[in-house]
Amino acid sequence: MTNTTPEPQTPSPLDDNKLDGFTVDQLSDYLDHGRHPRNPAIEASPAAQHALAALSRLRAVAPRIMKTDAEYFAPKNENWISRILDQIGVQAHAGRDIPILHDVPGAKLSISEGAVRALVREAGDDTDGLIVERTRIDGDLETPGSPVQVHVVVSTFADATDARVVPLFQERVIETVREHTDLVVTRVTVRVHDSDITDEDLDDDGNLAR
Amino acid sequence: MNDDTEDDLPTQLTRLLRNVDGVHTVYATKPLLPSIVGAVVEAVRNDPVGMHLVTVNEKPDDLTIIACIGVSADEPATVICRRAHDALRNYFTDQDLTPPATVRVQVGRVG
Repeated sequence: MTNTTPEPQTPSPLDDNKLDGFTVDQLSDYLDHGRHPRNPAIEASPAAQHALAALSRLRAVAPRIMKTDAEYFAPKNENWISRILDQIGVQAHAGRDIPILHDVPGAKLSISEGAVRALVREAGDDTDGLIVERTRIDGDLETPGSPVQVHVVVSTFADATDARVVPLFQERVIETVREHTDLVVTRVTVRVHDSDITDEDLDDDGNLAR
Repeated sequence: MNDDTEDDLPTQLTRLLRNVDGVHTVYATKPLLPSIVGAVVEAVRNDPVGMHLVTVNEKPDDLTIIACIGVSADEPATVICRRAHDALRNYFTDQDLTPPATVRVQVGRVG
């Protein structure tokens, strides 16, 4: 009986990059085909699962966003979709380990930063009228008890009222992060991204260059 | 693998974790060999296949268990993670085995 996990002898296809070896395009194709034939490596990767969930949400809401925007304003440009697609890849990777406290010697418990970002995205999915573009968690995540700040950039639908959906979303973010982690969240900021802004309008930090 | 074969420790711990309330997936903690990657989909569906999804590093006086899990969002991930940890540790007590020095459990996905 072998009790020790053997070291892999060959490079794995799952550790090539942050999405366990897959690109957003590949995952998008996988969705196009209804996740058939089933790809074992994709199904076994938390990062790929996070990205698939985000892609599915984007596909579900994009037609509505386009339609409502067309009724109110000029239609969103392609830059908006590509910007969100780019962020899906960035946001889905595991990131840092966030400790989960447990008063047992030798216990080292954690939740991945990627899992927390996915929780924030899902809070957005549950809030009618917006879609989460990106989430950044600032602070010393790896030291229990350290204060952290959550910064989220969202796009709101043209038929949504920011004054209603943003505070609702903010409450949900606070609630879900507090429920599922031991993080000490001191602030959640939500910035509504103007969907018609192009990359040329932003500085290196993603802020409006005006 | 069948019922006549004695499972190795990583496989037993993988099976154990799958039966912890709130755990819906046990992810691989080490890069998967291409030759066995095809079995992973069965593993994540909780079929009884022999997969080293849980890592066991055994050194003299330093046994370390490493697991990565997906958990339900119906209760706090922290609670399920602690429950999974305790289940792993209790396994060694119940089997009268030398307890691990370190048990690492990471929540890789919620919901």
